[in-house]
Amino acid sequence: MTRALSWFFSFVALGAVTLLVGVFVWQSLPVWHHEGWHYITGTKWFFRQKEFGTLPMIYGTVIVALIALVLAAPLGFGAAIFTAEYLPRRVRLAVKVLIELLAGVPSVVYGLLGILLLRDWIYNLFEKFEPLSGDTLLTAGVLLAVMILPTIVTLSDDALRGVSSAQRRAARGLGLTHAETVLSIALPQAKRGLGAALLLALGRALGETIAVFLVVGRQDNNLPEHVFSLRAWLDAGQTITSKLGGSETNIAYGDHVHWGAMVGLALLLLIMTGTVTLLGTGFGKRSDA
Amino acid sequence: MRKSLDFLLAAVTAFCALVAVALLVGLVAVIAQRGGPAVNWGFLTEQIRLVGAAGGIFWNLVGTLILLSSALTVCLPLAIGLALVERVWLQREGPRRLLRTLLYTLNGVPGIVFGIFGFVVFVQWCGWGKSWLSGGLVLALMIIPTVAVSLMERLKAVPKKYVEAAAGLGLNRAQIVWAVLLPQAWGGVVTGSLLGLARAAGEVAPIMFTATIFAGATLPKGIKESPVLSLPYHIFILAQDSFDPSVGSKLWGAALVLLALVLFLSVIALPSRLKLHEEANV
Amino acid sequence: MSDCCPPPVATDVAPILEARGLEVRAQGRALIREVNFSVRPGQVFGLIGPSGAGKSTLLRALNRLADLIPGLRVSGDVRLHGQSIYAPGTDVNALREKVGMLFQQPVVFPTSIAENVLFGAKRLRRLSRGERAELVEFALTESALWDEVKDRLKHPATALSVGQQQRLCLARTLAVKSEVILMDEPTSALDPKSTQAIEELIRRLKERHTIVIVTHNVSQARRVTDWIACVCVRDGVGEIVESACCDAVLDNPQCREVIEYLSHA
Repeated sequence: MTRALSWFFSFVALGAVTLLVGVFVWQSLPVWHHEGWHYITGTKWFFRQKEFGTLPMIYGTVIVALIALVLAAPLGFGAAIFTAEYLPRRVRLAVKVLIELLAGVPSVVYGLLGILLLRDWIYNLFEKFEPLSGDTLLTAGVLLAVMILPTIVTLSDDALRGVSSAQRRAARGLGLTHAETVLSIALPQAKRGLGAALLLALGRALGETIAVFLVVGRQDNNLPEHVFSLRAWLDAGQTITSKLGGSETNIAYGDHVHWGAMVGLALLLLIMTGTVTLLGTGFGKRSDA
Repeated sequence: MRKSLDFLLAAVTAFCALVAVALLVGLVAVIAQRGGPAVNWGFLTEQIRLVGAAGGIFWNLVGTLILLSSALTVCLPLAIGLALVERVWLQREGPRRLLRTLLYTLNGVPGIVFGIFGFVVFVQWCGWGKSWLSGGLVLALMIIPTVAVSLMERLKAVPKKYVEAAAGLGLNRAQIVWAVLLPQAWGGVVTGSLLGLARAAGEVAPIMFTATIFAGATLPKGIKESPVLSLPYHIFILAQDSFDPSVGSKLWGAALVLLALVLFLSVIALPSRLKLHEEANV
Repeated sequence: MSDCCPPPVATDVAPILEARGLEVRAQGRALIREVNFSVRPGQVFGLIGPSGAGKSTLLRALNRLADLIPGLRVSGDVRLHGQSIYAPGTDVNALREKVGMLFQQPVVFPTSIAENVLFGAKRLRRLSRGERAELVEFALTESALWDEVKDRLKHPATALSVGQQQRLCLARTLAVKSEVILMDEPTSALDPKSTQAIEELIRRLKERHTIVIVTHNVSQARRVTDWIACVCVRDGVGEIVESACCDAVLDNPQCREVIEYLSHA
């Protein structure tokens, strides 16, 4: 009986997950018929003209996540090295608890702070580049950096603590300094775990919706001529998530192709975050071996 | 040279840690300072008036609690079932790893994806329209990994000797599950649920198309077309288009209440998590 | 001091390492106290005694590895070449370079065999490629590992047997040119054959190095040490209760605790 129930509930859950993936593949089929590969490579999205190119949104999603990662990674690694390698155990636990609690702050609260504070700071700070407003890709990236910082710190700290202390003691016994021990023992041996921390944080950044929605400007079809043009960071943009969170989702349902295009965005997002999360967990796991 | 490197690393990393902690503590401080004045008994017990500029957030709180309790009710049997299948009933490592990987991946699925999924299945196919139940089901799906993984970790930590002792008394697997494993690992369900609820309480993306509206809903009377108000969605809407100062202070107040709710849920989950930490470090 | 055995080293040579009134406390409670001894260059100095008497702690106080264990406080003094190692301004890392340590469980780093040998040395000194190769060969030869691993220096060190790993750890310490090597029950995790190899090494190494060894194994103490200090618990605190040349302590112990310990060991 217990066994049957366990299996039953598991199958319900697994069925729901299968249904989830199935729905996204199936419902997005019309747009793949309509656009083909152009759905991913196309740079224009005008739903009234039935033109659905998602490249600017993919660009926005990736750029915003990368800005976040570039800002948060050094800070997060630094902080994790300090908590794991320098702080005594009790203080370390206290700091870790604090940081983990803050990892749970809802994204709408981050979004609120972004809209009421960060937006103006960014606008004032970069005034001489004449941004149209404080709603920019950069604003979203900076906000995301703060949001993923706890993830990076706490996972990197775990990875560093996973390195056996006998190794550290042996290195100190040879006369290496504390810093040399960190750089030659702890970091190299924890590198898979640190990589996993980055990937899982990246996954979170790619999928974050509400905070990004509130500060990214939601400007369609904004793709710079040069992919690495920094000025474009100070323009409003659109990410996959901010598009999905907008009112277009409600309008689109009646129209097969248009709805397919919206669901297709969710499918792209699912593939991106799924890949990154899978890589991240697989990456972290093998470090135990 | 070696000495200065030694000092430099300590100083730089200490600085990073300080910045990280200051950023995050500062964030809570800002919310508390701005939202504090707006929060009083009336704020929690009155309903919204004047598009959020007056009144309180009573029905938003109620709506959020309805969503959370329905999500938990649906999630618990599924998550416990999954954890038991992974730890007790599956015998081979291959399928086990597959199941775990699936859970980790599900954990990484963005909230908005769940939202769109719920919109298609419950709102459109089932024809419920915006309903508290679609929201509850979607949130349940979202927090399954948190609860299941937390229970799995606890099940793994149950000492082998208890299982062996119970088996030695002639108990079968199902009896061992009820007599030994679940009582010993129940803390994992509690911790996982609290953390899952903390996450679900703050999410807007899964419920914005499925369950929640900005104003004009009280207690739901059925399933079809019975949306609820909710706290995070309230903040989300007000944040977008409100520069009215009186709305402003209410807005910060709502954010403070939401933050307090989420932190409260994570803080009561804390002791048992710390215990697990201690055990892991021995 | 008994005259049962000839002093292995002339006693008029200045001690290389000496402890004076050394005491280690943890959380206000003394673990070991009033430790006094001198180790002459080229001596193998054994620390024996029941487990829990604080031998390992004492050993860690000799190159200030105890500093890294939270809550331990060391008072009294340890002198290396007559210089206090607890004096303010002491370069602790340079000290640990001169006073190396071999642990109970071998700790190899997850890199190649050659990299393990060079792990400390290449960071402490500037070494050319040629010097590195020479150093690897020298250290591995000294630790009697060269013939076993010379064809696979680039292979991962973790693949070695535990006994080989312990000799690799020794090579690593020899490569940083330690003068004194502290050994904390270096053979307790090893099989008899590897134990024998390590013991032979100790006897050979004392031509150029000074060794302080903690051991549980009385017959091992008899085989390798020149001088023995017996650490026993008195009133709940570890103390050196008897210190003399090897045979004197083992064959003709004077002190009640030592007699008791030897009769059980």
